[in-house]
Amino acid sequence: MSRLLHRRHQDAELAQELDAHLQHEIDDYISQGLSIEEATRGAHLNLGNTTRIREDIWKWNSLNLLEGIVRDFAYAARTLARTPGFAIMAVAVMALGIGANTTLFTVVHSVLLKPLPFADPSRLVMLYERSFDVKYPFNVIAPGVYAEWQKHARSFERMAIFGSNSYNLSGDSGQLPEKIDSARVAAEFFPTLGVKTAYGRVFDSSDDRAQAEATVVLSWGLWKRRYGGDTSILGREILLDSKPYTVIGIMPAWFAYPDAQTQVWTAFHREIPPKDLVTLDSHSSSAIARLKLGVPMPQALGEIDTITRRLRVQYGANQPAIGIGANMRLVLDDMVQDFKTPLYVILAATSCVLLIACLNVANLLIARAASRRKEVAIRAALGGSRWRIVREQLAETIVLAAIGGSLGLVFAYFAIQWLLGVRQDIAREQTIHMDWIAVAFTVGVTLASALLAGLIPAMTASGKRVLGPLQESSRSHTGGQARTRLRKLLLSLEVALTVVLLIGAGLLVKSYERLRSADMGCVTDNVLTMRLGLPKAHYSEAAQRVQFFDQLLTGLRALPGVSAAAVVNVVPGQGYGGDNVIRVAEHPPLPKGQMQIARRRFCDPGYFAAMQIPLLRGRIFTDQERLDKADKVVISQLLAHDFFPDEDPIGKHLVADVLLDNRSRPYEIVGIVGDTRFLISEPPQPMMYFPLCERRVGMGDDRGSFPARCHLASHPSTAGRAVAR
Amino acid sequence: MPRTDNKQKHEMLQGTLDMLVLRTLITGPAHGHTIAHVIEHSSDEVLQVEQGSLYPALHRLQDRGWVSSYWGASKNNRKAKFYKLTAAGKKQLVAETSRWRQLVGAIGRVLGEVEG
Repeated sequence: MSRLLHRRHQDAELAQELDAHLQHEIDDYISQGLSIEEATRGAHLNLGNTTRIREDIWKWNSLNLLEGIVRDFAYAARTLARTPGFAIMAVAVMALGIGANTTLFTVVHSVLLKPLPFADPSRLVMLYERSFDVKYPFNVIAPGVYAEWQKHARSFERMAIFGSNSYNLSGDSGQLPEKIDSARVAAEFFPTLGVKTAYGRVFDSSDDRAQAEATVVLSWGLWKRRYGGDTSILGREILLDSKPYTVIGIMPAWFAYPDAQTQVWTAFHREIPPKDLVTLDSHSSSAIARLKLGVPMPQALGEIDTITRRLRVQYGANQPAIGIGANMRLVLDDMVQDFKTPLYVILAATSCVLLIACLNVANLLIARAASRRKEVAIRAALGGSRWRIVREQLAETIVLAAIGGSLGLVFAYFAIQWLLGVRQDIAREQTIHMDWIAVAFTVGVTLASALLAGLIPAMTASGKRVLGPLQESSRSHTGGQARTRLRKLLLSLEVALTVVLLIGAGLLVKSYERLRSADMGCVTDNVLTMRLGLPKAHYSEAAQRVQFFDQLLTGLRALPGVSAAAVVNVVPGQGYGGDNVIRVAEHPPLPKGQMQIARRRFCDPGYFAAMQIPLLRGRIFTDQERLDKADKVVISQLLAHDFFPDEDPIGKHLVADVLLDNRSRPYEIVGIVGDTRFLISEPPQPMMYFPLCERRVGMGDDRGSFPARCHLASHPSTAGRAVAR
Repeated sequence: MPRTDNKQKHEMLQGTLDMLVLRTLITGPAHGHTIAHVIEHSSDEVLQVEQGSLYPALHRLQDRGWVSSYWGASKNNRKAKFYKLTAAGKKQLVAETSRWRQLVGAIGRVLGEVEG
């Protein structure tokens, strides 16, 4: 660079120098007896055109570097064009490697690294309880515990409790009703996040109490879709679960919290029954908090942990499900925690692939360079600088990598579009897009790949043994020992990386196989599931709802192609679905602080046959034993094994507050059925099946949403269409 | 007598000029004119220094840090730019000399085979 900057000064100096040379030459000739004219002429002839020399050096100073690079690239392009097979292979390998890396980087960067769009997100934390059985260190919280935190904790600027639910949004002016996801949030929720509405206002403390008027905040998407983006909706009433709610605000389009599906927000303390607000052992809610400026996370955690432990000491004997402590993590970590490890693993895998691609290209280059060894050796002997020879090789790989990188960028673009299409469950999916950071990453990766692939073969070209080929008499000699060793090394590296990748892929396939072959405990082929909600206004009585299901099932079973149909509140694999603390009436009371828990399901008697869940002992409750006569229960094998290790459970009674009305009732065990999994990735849990009960059909936490299962003999899709009618 | 018409004398192999210039400077600093003459005299006038390429060569050597330069007065009491070998230049000279010997040996062996 200094050459470029100082060339004017240098040129002036050179002019002087050449002038001095001429003078010396002239002096020489004159001393030999020539006349001044002859001497001057001779001197000029010897030196040649001084301007030309000056120009040469000027050019060398200014252009040598750039021109050389241009020449190298032109040369590289020509060389590659001469071997199109090699060039296409190398470019394709590079494009795939770089493209895959860019795709993954874009996803990782968007999902894991980009800050949340909230004010000062580094102070936003999610609060949790540690579950009493130590199984869930990040358990959802009990509102009563939260209330204590809010009262006593000093480390937080604000905290807010919230939970998810859904509503039936009634159609007005001819629109169809729809089921929408919603969040019930405390008044402090939006201020904690530091977000404001696009129009209107958020909840204030007067909206967020039991006797307040019902108010609702709409998402931008719902407002646009359902209300035509008309701000006159503010102050009007909409019907949620057939009850009027006044619209007070509309959130901006980018706001999607707790998740992108949330379409309305309602006030937590108004929506939740007062008795549920003080419970210490019913874990149902989430809490978000903003740390005070300068308060470190461990200190804040210590504070709420102490509060929780104190509650446990105080009330734990009677309410053993109270958390044993508190927990906390950053909101960003909380949102992406399920994806963090898989994404980093895949990124590592694609990096491996790129590394293999580079090594492959390097290997190909080495093989090709073998045929050019003599040329290189002769040039080196004649003073061709090693740097030049290395540079040529590098130019070649840079050309390859640049083309590969550009193609890779295009590849990545389409890959991301595809990914967004098929995996809409990725956290923060809406933030995933290619930006300049991703492009910069691609450029960086491209250059790194070019250097890696180029320098390995160049190492052999620039070694001290470069003159070796000239001393080797045999012309058919294709590679020196160093080169062979290098290629062997590359090959072992590649094999090692490939083995790592293969093991990873193998494990992945194996766990997928395990998921595929996991025994759900029931039939899963040709089974359709549908969910429906009954509006409470029209089906206020449980008997009405049960009658509806009866009619539906009769209709379904009559459909051609439907071999069986049944109703249950949560199908196997669908998830948690609710549980109860249970007690066996015939057993002595458990020691203080201990308890037994089982998952609960509500179903019609046909459910077990329809799902082919085997009846192992006893019988199923009958169609008559339901509603107010529902005093029978069917238990799973695991429940029988865990709670009745050495006795026959049939005829014993489970005591539980199944109806969640604070009254425990005894249920007679009439049958034992096979285990089913509540989640495909989790082992079965003790499970109990109740008949369709009074108050519990379409009420409380089951929210009237019942999947019906149809066991179909004919093609599922044709029957599916019939069922939809 | 101008020397440009002397065809029997050899033009220098590319790349060797640098080496020869460095060799000349090992006896002490010299200016361009002297360097050209010393090379010609010590090769018994066989090697001709293309004066047009001498200065670019000197420039290149300086750029690579193998020689340094300063302005001084010549024997004729004229102002001239003197070149001086640097430590790196000495190393380079040793390296190039040994490389040249190898090359000559190799070419010699090849030619020997032809004669044999």
